[in-house]
Amino acid sequence: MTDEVTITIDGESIKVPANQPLIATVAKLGHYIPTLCDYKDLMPAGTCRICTVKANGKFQTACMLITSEGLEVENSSDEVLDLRKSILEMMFVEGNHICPVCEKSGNCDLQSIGYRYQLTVHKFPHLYPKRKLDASAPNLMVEYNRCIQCRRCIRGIRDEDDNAFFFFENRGYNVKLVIDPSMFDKLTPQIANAAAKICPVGALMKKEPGYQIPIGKRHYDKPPKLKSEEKTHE
Amino acid sequence: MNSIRDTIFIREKLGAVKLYRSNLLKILWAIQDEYRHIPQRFIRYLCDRTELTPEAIHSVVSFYHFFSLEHRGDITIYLDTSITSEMTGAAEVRKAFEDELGIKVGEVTSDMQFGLFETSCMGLSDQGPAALINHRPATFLTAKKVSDVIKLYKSGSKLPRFPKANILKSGPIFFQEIKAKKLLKKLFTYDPVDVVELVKQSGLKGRGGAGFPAGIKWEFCRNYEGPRYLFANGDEGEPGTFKDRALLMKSAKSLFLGMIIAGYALGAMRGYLYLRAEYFYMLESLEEVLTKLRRKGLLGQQILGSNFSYEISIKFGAGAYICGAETALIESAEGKRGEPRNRPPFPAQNGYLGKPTAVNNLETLCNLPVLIDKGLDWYMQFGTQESTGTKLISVAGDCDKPGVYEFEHGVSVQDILNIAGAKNTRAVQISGPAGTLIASNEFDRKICFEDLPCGGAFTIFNDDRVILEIIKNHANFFMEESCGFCVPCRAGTVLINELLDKTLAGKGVAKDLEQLNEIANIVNIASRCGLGRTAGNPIIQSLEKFRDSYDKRVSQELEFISEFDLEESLRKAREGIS
Repeated sequence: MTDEVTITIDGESIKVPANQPLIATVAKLGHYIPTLCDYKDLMPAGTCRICTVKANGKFQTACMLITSEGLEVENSSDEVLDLRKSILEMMFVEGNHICPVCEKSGNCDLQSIGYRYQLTVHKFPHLYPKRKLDASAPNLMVEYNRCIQCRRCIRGIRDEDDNAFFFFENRGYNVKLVIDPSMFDKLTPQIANAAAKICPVGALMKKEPGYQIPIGKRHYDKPPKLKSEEKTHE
Repeated sequence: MNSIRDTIFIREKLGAVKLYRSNLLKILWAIQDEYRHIPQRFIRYLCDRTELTPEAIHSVVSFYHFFSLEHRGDITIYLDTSITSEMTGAAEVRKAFEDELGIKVGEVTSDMQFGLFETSCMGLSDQGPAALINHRPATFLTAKKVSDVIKLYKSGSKLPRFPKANILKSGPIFFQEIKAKKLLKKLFTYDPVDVVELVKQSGLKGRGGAGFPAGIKWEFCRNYEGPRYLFANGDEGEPGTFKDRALLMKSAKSLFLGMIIAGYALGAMRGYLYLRAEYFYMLESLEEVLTKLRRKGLLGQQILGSNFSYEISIKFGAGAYICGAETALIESAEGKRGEPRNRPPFPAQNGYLGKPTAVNNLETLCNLPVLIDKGLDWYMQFGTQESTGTKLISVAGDCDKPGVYEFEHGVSVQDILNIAGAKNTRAVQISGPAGTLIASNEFDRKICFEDLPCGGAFTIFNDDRVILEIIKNHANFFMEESCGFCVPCRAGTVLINELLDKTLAGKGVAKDLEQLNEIANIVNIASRCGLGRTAGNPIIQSLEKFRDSYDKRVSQELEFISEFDLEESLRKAREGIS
């Protein structure tokens, strides 16, 4: 038995279970809050900040917010949407996201949210970092140009003893995802598949298959859904 | 491990340290200091004896500024990049080092004798231009002095261990003689909860800048089952701050007594001093004070026959401003990358090794001995209604007498300027880049929690200074020190620097300033931790208070100035032809 609490989201009053993460809870009721770093049952990390809402007058990320009685959430005010758009733009300009040549195009969460928020021309200057591709690991390659450092792979991809396959090196703008070479033997095609799947962008790509699903049949190629039908955690 | 040197090093240095994850930074420091880098064979050595993988260790090594996988030279020189060093001639000093050694910043001489690097503020803003050479401070540097210092090290000698403590004004609270035994005897007549109550009533607030009441922090912590831990936050990294340097040099006994008092109040078994690597020159003298306290029976089992057993040890930082944030400090103390944690849970519940932990600023803890000794009424006569006690201020920049001053809370900015001998002051940066930039029309404001809270830094800029260059230095600081965890801080600090560079190069337009303001606000609103949420401050405040400094550098007529420089782009090709 979980307690119920009443919260408001964009002025609409709804009943939700208490002490649950806001983002997943309201998604079930058809309120879309975008996210890139939050994923299914993983511990929320709060890296992407794209789920920022205004809650009780304060900007907070919905992945970290816990439902409580009387919580007032602003999810679609211009202020919130503008902030999200700007954060999204920051992600686009800090990397090199060239959708037309990306295998993940049409299956990419970043691209999908970009469309949703109608990002066309970026207002911020592109940083055009020089980043390489690392194909030293078996079955999986890292395309650094596309990595948004969400840490889904770090949190979600582990071996049977809970050892991580992925780590971060450096800090600040030089932060870089690395596959632990001592885990290479354990990086099976199954693990590589799971890693490519958990990656919201095209940074982790299974080696060999490339463009397996033809354009037109990909997830986001379908006609846009109504907002109320949208699922966030897919 | 193959060489005799390795065997001896392991026996004599590593043998004394337990190979726990929480000791990782201490172990890495021993290796870095001995071999001037972290050799792969030692990473393997550690992996064989712990549950860590090489990549897990790489990820830690690469986070901290002072650890390196490549040799940093037998004598490693770190130049201070803070604004006060820049203002006193860091550029000439940098050039003098480069010329003298025949290398550029970031390089090591071919014989591996000298390495030349840069680092953020090292707590010597009153003695700049400054550098650290194998953990020892080189102060008041000039081109001539650089040459002497190099000669000194080439001859096998070293600089003196300590800089000047430079305490120019002390008051009732700090740098007092304390009779340790008498104090602790008095302490043990109180119940721990009474000490918490006393500190709550005293109104003592955190001196790091945030001003959280110390007693309430302990009370939260006491709500959770122990073991509990106390941390003294000695990671004073806010540029322009050096008051903890003075406390560590001249008042270590008071600090440790404060840690004992706090530990007693908390019901802790252990206290840690987290010491920033820039202050390692104090390590030996601090250990000596601890040894004396142990010898007198003031630390250890059942102190002075009471039921209270307590030990203090020192944890090492390794060059990361972010570790001054309490949850990042805890991560670092656990031997991890110094990335702040998500809260809740708060450290009071889930801190060091998952246990209830209180992190207090050094200066906060140094208040406790006199408070216990002289009592509540005496203590509360100092300061203002909401800001009891005094404040240590690190005065630096354009004034005759930079140094450490103790002022009662409520002192005005103008009073401090007068006492320090500052003339023609244009702006003062209070609490460092993350704090508040104030202009001359605000000099009647008061240093206290009701008006201008101060973490310690008080950096003065006179009329000759270019505000935009100061802001650029601060913006650069945040870019260098961002941990990179969340998007707004990681990308936003870089974008701010791009736009500032463009403006300083005379290629800016009015729209760029709006964008600077917008990005700075996003960084402040949307970042995850306190570093990010203040990283936009220099931009937002300077645009508000010193708008003219920007306006005169950007074109008001043009909407776009090309950053593309045809001549510059063709230069290399032309040189190739001719």
